[in-house]
Amino acid sequence: MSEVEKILQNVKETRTEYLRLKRELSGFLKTRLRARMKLQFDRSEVSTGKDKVKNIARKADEAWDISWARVVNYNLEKDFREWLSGIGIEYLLYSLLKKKDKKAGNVFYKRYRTAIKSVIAHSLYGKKGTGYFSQRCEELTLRTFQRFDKYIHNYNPYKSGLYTYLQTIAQNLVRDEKTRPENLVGEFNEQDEEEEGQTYWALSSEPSPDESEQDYRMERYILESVLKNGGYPWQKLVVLLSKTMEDREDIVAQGGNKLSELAELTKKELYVSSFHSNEEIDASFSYLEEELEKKLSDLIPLRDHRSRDNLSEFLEEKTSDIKLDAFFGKNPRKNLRDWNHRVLKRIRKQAMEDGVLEL
Amino acid sequence: MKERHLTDKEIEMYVDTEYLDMAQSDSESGRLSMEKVQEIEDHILECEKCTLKVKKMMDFSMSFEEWINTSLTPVQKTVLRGLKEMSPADSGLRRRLLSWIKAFGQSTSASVKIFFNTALNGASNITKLSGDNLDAMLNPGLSFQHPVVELTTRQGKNKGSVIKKELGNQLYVMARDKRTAEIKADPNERKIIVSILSERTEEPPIIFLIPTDFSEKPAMKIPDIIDDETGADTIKRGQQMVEKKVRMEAVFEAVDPGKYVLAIEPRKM
Repeated sequence: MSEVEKILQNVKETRTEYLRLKRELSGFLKTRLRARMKLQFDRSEVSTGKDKVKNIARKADEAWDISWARVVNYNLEKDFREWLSGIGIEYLLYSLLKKKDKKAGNVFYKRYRTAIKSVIAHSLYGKKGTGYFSQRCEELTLRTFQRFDKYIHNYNPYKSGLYTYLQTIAQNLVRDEKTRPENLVGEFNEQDEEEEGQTYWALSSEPSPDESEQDYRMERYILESVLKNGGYPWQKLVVLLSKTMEDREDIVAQGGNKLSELAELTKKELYVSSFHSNEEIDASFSYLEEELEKKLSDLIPLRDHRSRDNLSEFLEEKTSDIKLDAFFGKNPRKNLRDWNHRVLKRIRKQAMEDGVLEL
Repeated sequence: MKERHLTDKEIEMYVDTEYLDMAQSDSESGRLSMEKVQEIEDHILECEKCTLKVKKMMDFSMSFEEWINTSLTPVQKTVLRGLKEMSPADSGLRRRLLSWIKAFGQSTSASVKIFFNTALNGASNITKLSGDNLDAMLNPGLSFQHPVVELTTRQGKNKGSVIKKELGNQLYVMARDKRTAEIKADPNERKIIVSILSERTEEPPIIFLIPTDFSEKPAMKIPDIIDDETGADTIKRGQQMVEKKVRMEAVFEAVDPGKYVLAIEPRKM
């Protein structure tokens, strides 16, 4: 047997093994996709309609084929079923996007918008933090999704994930931006909207007055609840900075600032970017400001040994005077995600107690 | 799993594991194993009561994530700040402003960036308009044009680029070849004129001219109805009575050179 034949024989055997794995886990992926359709895409009929069940089974089959094509990217340290689910759910999303499903469009946009904006902000020339830079990032983010919508049929799920494809589009747009001679006169540069078209999901439909009122109340509840019940002051501040700053890296860069300075910064930003009156914002901030006046040791309960140990050298300091860096661990970006999540868990618990979230 | 419903804790952990990006790295939250996820989803596919609970938990959690990830563009911030700074004595106007602020961000917002007789990118005495969402706001579904604004850059054969600017100072919205709204900046007369064709029964919108550096207080106007001889709400067209269109106009006078955002109150609040 030649070397080539041996390789092909091995591939065949591996493929047979992979198909055996598929048979073993055949129900798993179908359940995952049906549940996703029901919960995220509002297709309650997936539980009953025979055609729908068959359709999901076909999607699951194709997702298995895609996973085989991309198995070289599988990290052996990860749970295989989690990796497979990711591919299946993404393929489901892509199938719905091709049909211009609005719900799927919104899910897709919300899921990747922040990450794509961050990619653009990192590669675009210009002074970060300026209004013009921020506006360009917004515009290029929207154009990335518009272009995705236009060229969706060029995407090949067998080659890469949706995010990789979006990232490539974003990077191409940034490269065009850098090389276009018109850009010499930045702000005069008109966007060719006709060429890109409008993305159906990015343009939200007009909400009814009741919906607006409901959203307004929810936003106010969240802001107030974060400041009142969100946990330690530095965790609350990170949530507010996540909202008011362009990019997570910008928050890490604020590490040298004292908590009192960051509180002032976020408050000022909310004055200009929140729909609430400045008086309402001041009132909500009073909870945080009171905490910042206290010594750190008065804020961290005795039972929280871990925080007390980690922050032992600052315990006797006034909290407002401590720099944000003091609270970061080895991986500040991980801290940011964790604190955002912890604050959510606290305000969710409070929302259940307040009856705002009734299960 | 079928014989019992999901607990609140299971629902929370399921939503965090499956639907929240921010939860991915939180070791304390304890991500659910795939076996557990499948078990929960098997139940969800058969139980409407638990499906409803999971959806409520998802809605709340994702509202929070969306709240964190949603920010306003610089132009939107300028408009919002302008709206907040206005405190008209008239209670009706105050109510409309409050509604506008409340709906802002959720509804489409129309705004026009104006460079009025000002220096920009090395060029002086520039007057230029560019619009965001004007068509959606004033005439949903119509195409928006700004035909006078034009910019060409040419790399000449000689070294050093020659930049030629042909800049316009008006933009308009078209509906079936008819102008339904027009905004014109006149640097010589120091005026900005907003003209809107609308149904007579419709309330004229509040219009703001907001200096982007907030060196002055935003100017507010409500357009006057012009070009309305009969005063009637409807006119006879053929055999039918139709709503009469009238032209409304707001003029901002003695406008100083500078950068402005012109914001127009949304039609349906």
